[in-house]
Amino acid sequence: MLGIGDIAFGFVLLLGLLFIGQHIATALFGVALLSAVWFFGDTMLRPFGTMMWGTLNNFLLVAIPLFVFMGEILVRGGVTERMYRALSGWLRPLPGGLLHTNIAASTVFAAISGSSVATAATIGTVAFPTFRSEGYKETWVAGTIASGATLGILIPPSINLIIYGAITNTSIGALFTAGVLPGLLLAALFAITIIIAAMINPAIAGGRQNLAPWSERRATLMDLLPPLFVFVLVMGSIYTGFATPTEAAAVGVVAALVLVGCSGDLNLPMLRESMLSTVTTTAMTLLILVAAFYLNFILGVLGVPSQVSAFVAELDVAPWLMLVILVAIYLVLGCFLDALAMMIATIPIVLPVMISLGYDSIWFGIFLVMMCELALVTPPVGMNLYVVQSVRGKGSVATVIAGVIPFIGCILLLVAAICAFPQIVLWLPSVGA
Amino acid sequence: MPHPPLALRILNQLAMVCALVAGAAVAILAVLIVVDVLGRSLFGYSLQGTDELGGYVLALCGSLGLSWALVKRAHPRIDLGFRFFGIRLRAALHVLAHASLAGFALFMAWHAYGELAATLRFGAVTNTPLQTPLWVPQGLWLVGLVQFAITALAMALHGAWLMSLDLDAVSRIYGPPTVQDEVGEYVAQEG
Amino acid sequence: ETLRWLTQTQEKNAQFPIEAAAIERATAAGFTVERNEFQVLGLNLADALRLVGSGAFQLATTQVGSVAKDDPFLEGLDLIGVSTSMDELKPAVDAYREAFNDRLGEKFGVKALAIWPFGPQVFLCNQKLDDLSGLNGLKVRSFTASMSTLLENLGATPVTLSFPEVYPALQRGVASCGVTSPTSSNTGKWPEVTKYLYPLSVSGSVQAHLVNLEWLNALPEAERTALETDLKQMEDELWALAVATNDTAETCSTGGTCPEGGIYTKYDMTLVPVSDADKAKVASIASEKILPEWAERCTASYPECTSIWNATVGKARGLEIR
Ligand code: NA
Ligand code: NA
Repeated sequence: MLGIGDIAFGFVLLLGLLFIGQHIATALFGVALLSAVWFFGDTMLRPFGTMMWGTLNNFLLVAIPLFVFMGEILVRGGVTERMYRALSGWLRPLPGGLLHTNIAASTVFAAISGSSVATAATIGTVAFPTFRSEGYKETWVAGTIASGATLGILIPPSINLIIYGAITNTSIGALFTAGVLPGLLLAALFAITIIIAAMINPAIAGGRQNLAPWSERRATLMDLLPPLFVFVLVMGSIYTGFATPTEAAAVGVVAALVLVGCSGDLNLPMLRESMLSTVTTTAMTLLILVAAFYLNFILGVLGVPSQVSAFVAELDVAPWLMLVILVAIYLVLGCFLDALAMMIATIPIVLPVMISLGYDSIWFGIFLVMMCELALVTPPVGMNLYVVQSVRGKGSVATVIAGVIPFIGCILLLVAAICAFPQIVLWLPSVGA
Repeated sequence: MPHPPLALRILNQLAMVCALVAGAAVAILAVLIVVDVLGRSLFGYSLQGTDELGGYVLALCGSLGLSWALVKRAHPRIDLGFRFFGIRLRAALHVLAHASLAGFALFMAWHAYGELAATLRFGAVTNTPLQTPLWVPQGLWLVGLVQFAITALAMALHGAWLMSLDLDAVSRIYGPPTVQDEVGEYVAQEG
Repeated sequence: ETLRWLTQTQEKNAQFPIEAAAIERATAAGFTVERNEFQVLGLNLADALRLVGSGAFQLATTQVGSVAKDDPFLEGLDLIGVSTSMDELKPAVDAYREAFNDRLGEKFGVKALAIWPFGPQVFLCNQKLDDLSGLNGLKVRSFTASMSTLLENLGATPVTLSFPEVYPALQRGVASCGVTSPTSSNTGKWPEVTKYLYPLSVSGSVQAHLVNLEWLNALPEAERTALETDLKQMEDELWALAVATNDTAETCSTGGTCPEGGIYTKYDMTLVPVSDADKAKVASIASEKILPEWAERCTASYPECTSIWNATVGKARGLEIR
């Protein structure tokens, strides 16, 4: 049947199509179509319509547009800007000063957004102007924004976790709950890295910090409430059993509308832009999903997942060594592939191997999302790098790349930690309400 | 820069209207779900079937929304190779990308038509509390895919035609957005 | 001859060894069997008729209730509340088989070579329950139209949830009860999040192994007979399993003696005895609500629906739709 050479050829073809600028969805579909026709003639084209409807009509994925819509409303309602200002007042005294605000704001924003790219764009847009004339090192400013934003897909809600749950039949509520603790730990690791770096070399954080007066800081504290309220409402609904994740997303949308309405920022043009933006993001994600699901279907019919499983079983490597190899493979793949496409394309092949080695599917979901986080900040293909660079609007992307290096270390450290102590991931979902 | 032909401008407007329809469906869905959740937990009453409606709304986003995402150049491409190519090759690749996307769209529309035809032949009605005649959501789905195919094809043709006039314009209109454009828009909308 | 066999059975299921043996027999009979799972390929059970009918797969298993979207007539095999034990279900299925296959053949180009049940569909609740009146006001997970009809008539609120969300929903209280077989609930760890098991069966969750008819008819006589015999044997074994293994699973879930090293885990749910009054209540809801509603849906696409059902399942179960 299918040899390792065929698989390698397919992969090279995919990279080639991407390299000449085909849309990611077209490239995935092209490889799938070619394999289908080559191995099966027209037989395996027949289920395409049925499959496509199944992918698009999947009510687990309905959480995607709802969560995107929720985030759009809050951003366009000005919630994030006020939140950033409030955080910056409080975090300046720490060694590293305003850099901590980038991490903290990303952490809070991650709790109301399902996407890391949206987090990078939003936080970057708000953050960069505040750093003007403060004397911070650009590598650190850009690095904290690009890496902090990766939390967007680890801390719930998360588009990537929704898709993982839908593909693997894993409870999305459990995945969301599992992402909370690693997300907070990663944010803490980021903060510790800044503190250590600032103590070794205070120059990265400019000169002395001008502190805002207490009264002002207390006043802005109120601005942190809306995002925290929405997060607690959404995750609380899921955790206490009030609602399923999709329902909780709808609750979040209505809550966001009410909040923004109360602050007087709700109007028709803003609502219209939020809707258009939501549909754009959702349609773009779904087109990739349709192509990737079809590619997975063809790989499945060709027996690739079971062959890879059997191959790995025969190697008989220790589970920890398997993990090290896997991280290395994902690091390399993540350099060249879009994070979402990488995730969907590898799940059917890698998950059976991991399950047979005794790993939990919730744990693996979190592991995979962390691999996606790496992919977002590793060159040459790393969306967060480019988004941050363009918000910066000057210098070279090399500055951003240099800036994320210490934080890539943090992500790898956390990956090692969840491998050694899976309870970091599995504890929270196992605690009953 | 050459003015876009009327047909393209009409297609763009149509794309926006369709995207707004899908967006409004998302907003209405959110409200329906909240009514259902509140009814269930406070009054022991359930609307039933909001999950099924949700599936249809998603299908609307993934069909009626595709053209608008294309107009906004949101379907991602990786522009890694472009720095190595000359301007003529680059323009040709932009046109090629849109042409093959149109091909993909046509393939989807053709198979969606096959699925809809089977649904009509079987008289399929969902075996759920809602009992939806499936041809309704699948019909809208097909409309979105056909629209997407037409839009992509029109863009590919326009790009090909532009190649003989203004290579720069091809890259500007049909190249991947420099992320600058994307974020600039984000800021503009926000401010 | 290549036989692409699309299955819903996974290794942890009780049905797995029996189906695996059937695949081995088919291989021995000369077929090159390529086994695939719905879930791995990202396909839905509800699309089984279309997947086999198009010839993409030669054989697929499916849940009859879930493909009924393409034809309500198929659901007539095992309507909610009609057959409440495996002993009642068997003659009903046998009576309907011919009409069922005729319909599958002419409308979809497929044939069911095996029709078998997962086992009695019973109630598991996380709240105390003495009889069905205890369901009043509770949220119960439902997945079909007729299941919702039954639940509403029992005063419960039907909640629609996808299977992976059922466990957390029961754990957190989004739903109070679920309906499934003792085997599925035990292997799905439901007893971790539910306390009371009420073994009143409302259906048998009937499954079918469907083959592409054109492909089957084109097979050489010997191969076709071999495949038909093979699947018939599998069907018999799956019926026997539905009775035996569900008893074992129920005992395991409710603190009885549980075989060591098997696929079932020991739990200590409370087994609530079934009352005759409840059986009568379900039977009356079935004949007064569920059957007429189904007949209406079915007749819309198949005018002979009611008369066929009365002459087959109805006769076997002593029921009649007027
Ligand atoms: Na998030
Ligand atoms: Na990367």
